Amino acid sequence: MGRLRDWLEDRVGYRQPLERLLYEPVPGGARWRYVFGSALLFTFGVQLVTGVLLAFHYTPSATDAWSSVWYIQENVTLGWFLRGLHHFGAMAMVVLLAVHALQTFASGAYKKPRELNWIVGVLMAGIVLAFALTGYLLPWDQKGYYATKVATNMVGSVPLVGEALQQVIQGGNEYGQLTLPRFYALHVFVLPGLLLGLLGLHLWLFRRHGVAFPAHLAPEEAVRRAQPFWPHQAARDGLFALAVFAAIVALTVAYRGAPIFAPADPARPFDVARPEWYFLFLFQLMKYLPGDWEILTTVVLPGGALLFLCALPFLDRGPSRALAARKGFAAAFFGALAGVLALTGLALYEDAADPAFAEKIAAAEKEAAKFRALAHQGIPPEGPTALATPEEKAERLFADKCGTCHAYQGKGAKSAPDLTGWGTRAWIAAFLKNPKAPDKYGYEKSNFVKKGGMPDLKLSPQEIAALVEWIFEEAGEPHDRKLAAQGRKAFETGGCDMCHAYGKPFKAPNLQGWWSRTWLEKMLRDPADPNLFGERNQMKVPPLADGERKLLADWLLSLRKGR
Amino acid sequence: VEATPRRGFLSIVAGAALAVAGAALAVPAVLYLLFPWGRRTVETGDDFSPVGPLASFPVGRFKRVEVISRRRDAWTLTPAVAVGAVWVRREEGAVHVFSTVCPHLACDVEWKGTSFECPCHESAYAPDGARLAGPARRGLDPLEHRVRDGVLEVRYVRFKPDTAERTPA
Repeated sequence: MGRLRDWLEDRVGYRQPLERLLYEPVPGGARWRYVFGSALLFTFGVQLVTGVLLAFHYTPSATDAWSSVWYIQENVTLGWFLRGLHHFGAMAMVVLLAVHALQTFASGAYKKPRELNWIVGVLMAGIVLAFALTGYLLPWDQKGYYATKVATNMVGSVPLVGEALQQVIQGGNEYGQLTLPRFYALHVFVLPGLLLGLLGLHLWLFRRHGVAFPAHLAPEEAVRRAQPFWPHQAARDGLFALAVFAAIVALTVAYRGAPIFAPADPARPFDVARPEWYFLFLFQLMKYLPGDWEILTTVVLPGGALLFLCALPFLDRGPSRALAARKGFAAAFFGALAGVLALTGLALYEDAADPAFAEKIAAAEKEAAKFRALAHQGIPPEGPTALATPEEKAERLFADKCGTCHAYQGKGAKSAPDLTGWGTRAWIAAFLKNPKAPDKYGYEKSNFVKKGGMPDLKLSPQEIAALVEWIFEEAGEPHDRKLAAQGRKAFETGGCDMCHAYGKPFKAPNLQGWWSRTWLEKMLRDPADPNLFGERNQMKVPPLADGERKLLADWLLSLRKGR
Repeated sequence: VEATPRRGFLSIVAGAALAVAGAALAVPAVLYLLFPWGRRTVETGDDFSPVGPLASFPVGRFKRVEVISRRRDAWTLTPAVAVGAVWVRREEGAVHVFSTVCPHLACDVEWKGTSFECPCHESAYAPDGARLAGPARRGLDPLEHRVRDGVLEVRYVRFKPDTAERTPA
């Protein structure tokens, strides 16, 4: 080992730089309050590693992004865990960033000669927030889609340059195929590159000026009490980083990784769109401002805050780093922070106090769970928004193919019987009571009306109830046997057999097996069959694949199940 | 820097913290990266697919047709897509169906009138699929087929390339 190290030292000369890096003296001695910067560095490392790993499966395309994230989440070994680390690691970075900034401000470390490093830090903070914004959209789920739309529309509302800027950021006039690759390129190439560059500068400048030791220590005293970075500060940094990592892991395990909502669908609403919690203060502020004042939240406040922070070292030129010596600036800084915290608290409180919000969240989560479950059957090439339960598929098919004549639940045309509640006891009873009602066979241009059709039989309620049970028996549904037998008798004695026959075609439809699955599938194939509507038939069945016919039959039969 | 017991202890603490965090990240990372190993991430339908009426295939010469089947590719399920192609020749009382995939390194073999040739490494095969020349270790892969109602149906399979025996890939 020793000889190998000597060999390497001969060729690379690593020892001196490594020693300078590790044994750098920390003036005033190692302290716990210095751990936040290195914890940020560590967490950024976690983000880099988990981010690269996620990129092994993630697909930045509008049709596949959600599916690839779902795949990472539910199929890839420990994919949910690594994605969770990335999600909660991002939150940890924002928290650590705030604490690091607070500690830097409190120790007056922005003052001469560290002005430039403070500015570099402010820029890095902006990049971390840009990471959060771009990353939020990448799963292409409803939450990220709607929340990020708000952000890019805010950009669009900026005077003069807003529209151009918005179109460049989102890749055109609307979110589409061009949007995700841009956000992805920013998130995985541009922003990491910028952050790594600034990080190098930040560390270089930090090493040049060293830690800002407590203001009450005289410089000579600080030098006298100096300790080397390794292992004194490194042990504290390492333990704290480990604690941060443990917290990230704990959150990941507790929440089973990061959330993924239903796939982004501009046609489907998402009424619980919220930005990530650290942007909630801006979200809350927007609620209070009239539209004309929007520029306050989009430009003036963020821009002003950035400008103020960058200018701070030049505004506060007093020589002392003690907090007591810069009360005005401290008041401004902590006041702004208190404002942000208060607005964040308000936003959280308003949602928590609103029972409707909790219901909507529950509904959104149910919707998400439905899509996640459906995805296991395989996602169609057109994307996950095409995933649907058999009922949803049948309803769409119905609206598309049958809705041109039949109404269902208030939608569709009225040139055929209304199929709302079709096949239930109530529907059949209403039909027997008045076959020519406008929502039954009395629709406009009905042959039923024009050519006589089934007359009003003036049936008693008891007869109707009995006939309904008999039809349920023929349909193969659970029924009351006694009543059904009475119904059968009523069919034979009540004059129905003047037109209807049982088991063979006659003037009116053959009632054997009426409303059963076999009958329904025949209806969906050839309603003009002499056993069905014969020459009075008006139903034109559109071309249906066998699978579609079965889907429709299943659905229509399910409408009356048990009713 | 002089060594003291306190320094030694702190070094161990710092090193251990780094090692624990590193391992906690590295182990899941390796398992995650190995995920596709031994897994059938792409699967095509294993039932017979119709490739055309038997009469549409010429007698005495090979015709190339695509096989349409179902494909599951990671998360995507495509109900009907070309999953591969076959060379078909009809003869009196027999039909020859070969995969177009060269059993050497999976280029697409071409019918040259009297024999098959691979454009990549010059493997050549007889009309009965037997290996004639080149680096391939076996003949062309015949595929299971049947005729239903006058329509030729093929069960499409991809085999591992560059082996003497035929095992599904």
